[in-house]
Amino acid sequence: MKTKNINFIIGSILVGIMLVFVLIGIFYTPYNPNQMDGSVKNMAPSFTHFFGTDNFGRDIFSRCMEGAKTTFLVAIITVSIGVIFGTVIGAISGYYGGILDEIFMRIIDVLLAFPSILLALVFVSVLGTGTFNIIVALGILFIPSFARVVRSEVIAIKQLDYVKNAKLMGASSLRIMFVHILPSTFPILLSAITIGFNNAILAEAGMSYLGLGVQPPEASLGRMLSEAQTYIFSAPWYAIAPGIIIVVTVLGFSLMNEG
Amino acid sequence: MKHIIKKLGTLIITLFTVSFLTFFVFQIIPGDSVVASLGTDATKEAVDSMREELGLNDPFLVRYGNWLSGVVKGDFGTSTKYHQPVSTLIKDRLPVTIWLAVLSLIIILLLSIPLGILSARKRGKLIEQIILILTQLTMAIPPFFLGIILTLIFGVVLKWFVPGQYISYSDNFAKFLGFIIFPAITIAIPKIAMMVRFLRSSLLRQLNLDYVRTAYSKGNKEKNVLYYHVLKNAFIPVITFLGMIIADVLAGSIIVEQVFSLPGLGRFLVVSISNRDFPVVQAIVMYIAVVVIVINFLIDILYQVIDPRIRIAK
Repeated sequence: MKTKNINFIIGSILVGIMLVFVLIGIFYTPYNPNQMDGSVKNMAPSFTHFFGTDNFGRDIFSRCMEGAKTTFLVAIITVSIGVIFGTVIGAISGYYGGILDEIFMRIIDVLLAFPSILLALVFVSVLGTGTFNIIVALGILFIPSFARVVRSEVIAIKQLDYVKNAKLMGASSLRIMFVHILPSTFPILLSAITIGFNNAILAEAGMSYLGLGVQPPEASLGRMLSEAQTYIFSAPWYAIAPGIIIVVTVLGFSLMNEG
Repeated sequence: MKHIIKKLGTLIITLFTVSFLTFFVFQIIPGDSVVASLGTDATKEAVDSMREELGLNDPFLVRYGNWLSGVVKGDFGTSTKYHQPVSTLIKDRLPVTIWLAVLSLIIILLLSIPLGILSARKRGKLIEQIILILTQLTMAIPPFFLGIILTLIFGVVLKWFVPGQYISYSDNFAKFLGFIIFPAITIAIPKIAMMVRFLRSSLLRQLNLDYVRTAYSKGNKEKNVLYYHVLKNAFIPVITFLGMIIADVLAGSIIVEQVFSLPGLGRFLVVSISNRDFPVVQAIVMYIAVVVIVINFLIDILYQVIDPRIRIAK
């Protein structure tokens, strides 16, 4: 019990730091993240440039703020798409059962049979690259897992006495679903959301790293890592900063989830 | 036996659905692969004749049938970018990915099993805490960043290998292994962490069961109980987990091959997506999906062979 609390506290601190970092980045960055300055190319971290500068003389700290903002935004929207559609599909599937359930679950089984990165790549090759397309692709990608979680919860709760009671009292199916069943799925859904958020951050960074997500000059943590790799001999710090930001975020959320 | 036949039926249906989806998805893509390969200034006649030649004017189901019967025979069509049979292009790159996957699996098994047992035996001690913290940390590092860190440490600082300088397996196999050991480690590290945690919790669950108490009360030492009684049972769920790990290793190679510029299947997939070379994308997607599905099927069967309780329960 004690280690769980410690995990939760450390996780919250890490997530808190990241949130502050991103929120400040929305209103203020020390430099313009896209402004190039030939006089300060590939500078090591210093007091004027906390994380150093890249090959175009852009301030890495500012770019990290901008990139983290993009990554967070993509993650929030994709998880929301997954949660909304997943909840609706899972609730209908679990509540009504029958042939509809069978069809949904077969499709989901097949989708989950693909490794998720492969599925993401398929969607991106169909939709094309870019921020909007990566959101749609990853959003679709997250629907099956949420649908499954909600469905199994709905099936379990459906058989509880209080739901049967509500039915006897003449509540409509919609009312039972939204007022009586779905709120009870919330704790499990919350944990699925934290895991989903982590997966979304890793997926966005991964796709952008492969050059299939957010496109330059827009900053994204994954994109920065792939650019940094070219300069690994001359500017090793370039890769470290965006990488550590991803690690801290993912670690924070998974620690919170465990606590 | 009956169960195996039922599973086999599901396997075939899943494979069919996967092949259909893979084919269908690439039919609705905006943009024309013929125009892409001939260039936008190609004449209409040239485009039409190429479309006819590639059979793109046939009805959808006919094209799917043709494609599928080709796939079964190992013929995935012709790459629109390289103008070579897709199967030849894949055959050149497949060994790299297979060696990478095999090597990382070996590393995963060699390290995760002893570490998992160790962390379960030393429960409550410092060493367990260290293992838990390390696994938590490594699971949070995305594979491409891990690859960059390893490149930085072993390539730039220690100079154990030259980053980006891949040596072909046909030129010098020993040097080839010396190079792909680093991408293999990159893929392996997070999976080791997952395996260690899974094995540890599986062992701890077993250690609380009655038969363990019985084994102790018969005068067995901890080592005996662990190695002769507990391990056998604790490994059963691990086998299913291993199926997931194998799928993850294959998927992980897509990104890690990019990090280390390995000319394998995964890198070819990413490049082909950028080139909009869809016959190649289709083929590789099918390839990876089929391997993953078949491995999961085999593990499902294996599971029942080693654990009679599951057979009876069904």
